[in-house]
Amino acid sequence: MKSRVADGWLIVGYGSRLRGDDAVGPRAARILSRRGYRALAVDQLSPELAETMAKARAVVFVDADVRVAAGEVEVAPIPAAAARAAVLEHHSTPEALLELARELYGATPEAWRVGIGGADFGLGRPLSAAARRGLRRAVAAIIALSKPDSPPRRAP
Amino acid sequence: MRKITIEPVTRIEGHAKITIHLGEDGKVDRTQFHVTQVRGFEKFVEGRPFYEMPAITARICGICPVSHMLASAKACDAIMAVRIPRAAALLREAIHCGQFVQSHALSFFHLSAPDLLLGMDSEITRRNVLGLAEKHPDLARDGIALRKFGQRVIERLAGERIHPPGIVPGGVAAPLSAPGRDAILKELPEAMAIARRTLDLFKTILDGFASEIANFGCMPTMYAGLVDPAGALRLYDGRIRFRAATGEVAAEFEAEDYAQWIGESAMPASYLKSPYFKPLGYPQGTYRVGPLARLNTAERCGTPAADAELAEFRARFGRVVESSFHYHYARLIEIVYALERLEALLNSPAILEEHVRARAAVNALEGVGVAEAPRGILIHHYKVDEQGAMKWANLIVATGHNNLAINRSVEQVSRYYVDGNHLQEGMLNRVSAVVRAYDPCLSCSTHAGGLVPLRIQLVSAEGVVLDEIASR
Repeated sequence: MKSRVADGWLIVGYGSRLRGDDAVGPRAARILSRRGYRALAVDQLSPELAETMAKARAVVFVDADVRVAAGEVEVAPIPAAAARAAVLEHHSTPEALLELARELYGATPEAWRVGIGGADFGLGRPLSAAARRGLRRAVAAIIALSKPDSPPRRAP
Repeated sequence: MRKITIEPVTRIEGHAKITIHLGEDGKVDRTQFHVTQVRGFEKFVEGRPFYEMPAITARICGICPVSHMLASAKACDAIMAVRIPRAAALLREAIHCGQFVQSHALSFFHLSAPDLLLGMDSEITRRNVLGLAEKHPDLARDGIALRKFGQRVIERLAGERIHPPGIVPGGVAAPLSAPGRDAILKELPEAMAIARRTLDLFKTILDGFASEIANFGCMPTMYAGLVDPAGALRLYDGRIRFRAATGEVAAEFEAEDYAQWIGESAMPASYLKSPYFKPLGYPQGTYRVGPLARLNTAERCGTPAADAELAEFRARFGRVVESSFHYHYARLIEIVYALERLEALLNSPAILEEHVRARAAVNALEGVGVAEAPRGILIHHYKVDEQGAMKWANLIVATGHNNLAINRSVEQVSRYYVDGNHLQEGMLNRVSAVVRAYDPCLSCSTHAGGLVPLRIQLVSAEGVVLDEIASR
C-alpha cells in the first residue's frame, strides 16, 4: 500500500467545480492528494462520507466561505457539541457528518473547518486571483495543522 | 378562502412548494404541487455541438446524471446513425444498474425511511437520517453501504461517481478490465444481502400504514415503462408500453414515436411540464412512471429473485397496484433486480471486449434517446444542423411524466388528512410524504440547511396571513 503523509488525516474538499471560486475546496483536496494526503474532492457532502471519516483520526473540511474576506483563510476546530446539534438531509454539513460518524460507527475524529474567501462565484469562471492566493494559504495551513508536532486540538 | 403553503417541500431533490386552499369550513377545496425552479437546459444548449450533450445534460442532476448521459448518448447515437459495440451496450447498462442502486438507496434510506421507520408524526427535528441512525443504526449503516456500492460501480465503470466522463456518443470511453469486473462481483453478495433484508423488514412494517396505503395517491391512472419484446422490465433500452388501470396494454411503441402518444401541457404557477397520454387527452390521460409504474407495466422482471418478490407483491396487492405508497416497495424490488441484472451483465464474457466506441459524424438531423431513470422514463430528443450544432432539444424527465399524478395524490392526501381548523405538522408531513414517494428529481439543487424548513401559512381570501406554523 502506498504510504501516506499525515497518517490518519482525511481532507474533504467540497464545492461546485463549475462555479468559479466555489471550486477552491476540491482544488485544495487535489493538491493535497498529489502530496500524499488522503484527500477527497467532492461536489457536496453526503452521508456516505461518514463511513470514510470514521476511519480517520482527524478530518479537515475545506470549502469556499463567503464570510471570509477574499483571499483570506480561516481555520477553526469544529467543537463536538456543535456536531450533536446537527441536522442532516441529502445535502449535509460537517457537523451532521460528524454526528453520523459517531452515531453509526462510534468514531469521534478531530475535525477542522478551513474556509477560503472567494471573490467570483460565476458559472464557468476560473479561480480568481484572490481564491488562488487563499488556496495556497489553505494548503500551507493544513500541512502545518497535520504535522505531528502541531498542538492539538479538539475544541471543547 | 384560506390557503396553506408548504414551502419548500423537504427531502426531495430540487425545489417545490405545495399550496392547499381551504374553504370557509376549514376543509380542503383544492391543491397544487408547484415546481418553483427553472433550469432552461432545452434552450441554452442550442448552438452547442451535439456530442457535448451527454456531458452538458448530466449537469441537470447530481443524483441521476447517468440516466441523462445515457438518454443523451442514445440520442447522439441516433444522430450518428451508429449501432454501438456489444461491450459498450453491456457496460452502459451495468453503469445504469449501479445508478439505480445508489439512487433508490438514497430515496429509501435517506429520504423516506425517516417517515417509514420513525413515524409520520414523529418529532420533526429528528425525522431525518440522524434520527434514523439513533433508532435504527443497522438500517442506517446498510443504507450508507448500499449507496456506496452503487456509487463505486459507477466510478469503476464510468470514471467518477457524479457526472462520470465514461458515457459518450457511440458507446463508452474505455473498456472494462477483468480486475475491475472482479472487484464489483466481489462486493455484490453483500449489496444483495442488504437489499434482501431491507425488503424483508419493509414488508413487516407495511400493516402499520393501512391508512397511507389507502390514501397516498390510491387512484386509477395509466402506467408507462420500458419493456423488452417479451414484455419484461427493461431499464436501459426497450419499447415504451402504456398499461391501463384496468390491466390492458393500451399502447406500445418505439421511443422515436413518443410525440404521437405523449402530449405536453403546462400548469399555471409551475415550471414542470405536464405530459399526458394523447389518446385520452388532458388531463384524463394522467399516467405514472417510475418503480411502481414499471412493475405494473411489465409482465415480469426477468431475474429470479426480483420475480419472486414481484409475485409476492402482486399476490398481496393485485396485478395493477394503485397506491403510490407502494413506490417504496417497488423501489426495493427494483434494487434486487438491478443487482441481479448487474451480476448477469458482468458475467457476460463480451463485457470485457476492447472495442467500446463507434465513431461517426452527423448522419441524421434528428435523434431520440430514451432510458428508464430511477424515477421513470427519460426522453431526450435533439435536432441538429449538418455540422452537428444543436438546433432544438426537448427533454421529458421522469418527474414531468408524474406531475399530474403527483398533483392528484397531493389532493387526495390533503382531503383525507388536512383539517384547516386544527393544523398539525404531521398532517402536512403526509402531504410532503406522498410527494417523496414518487422520489421527484426536480434538479440537483441542494436544500436549505438547519432545521427542516417547513412553513405553513393560513392566508385569508384578502391575502392576510391569519396563522403560521414554522419548524422553529
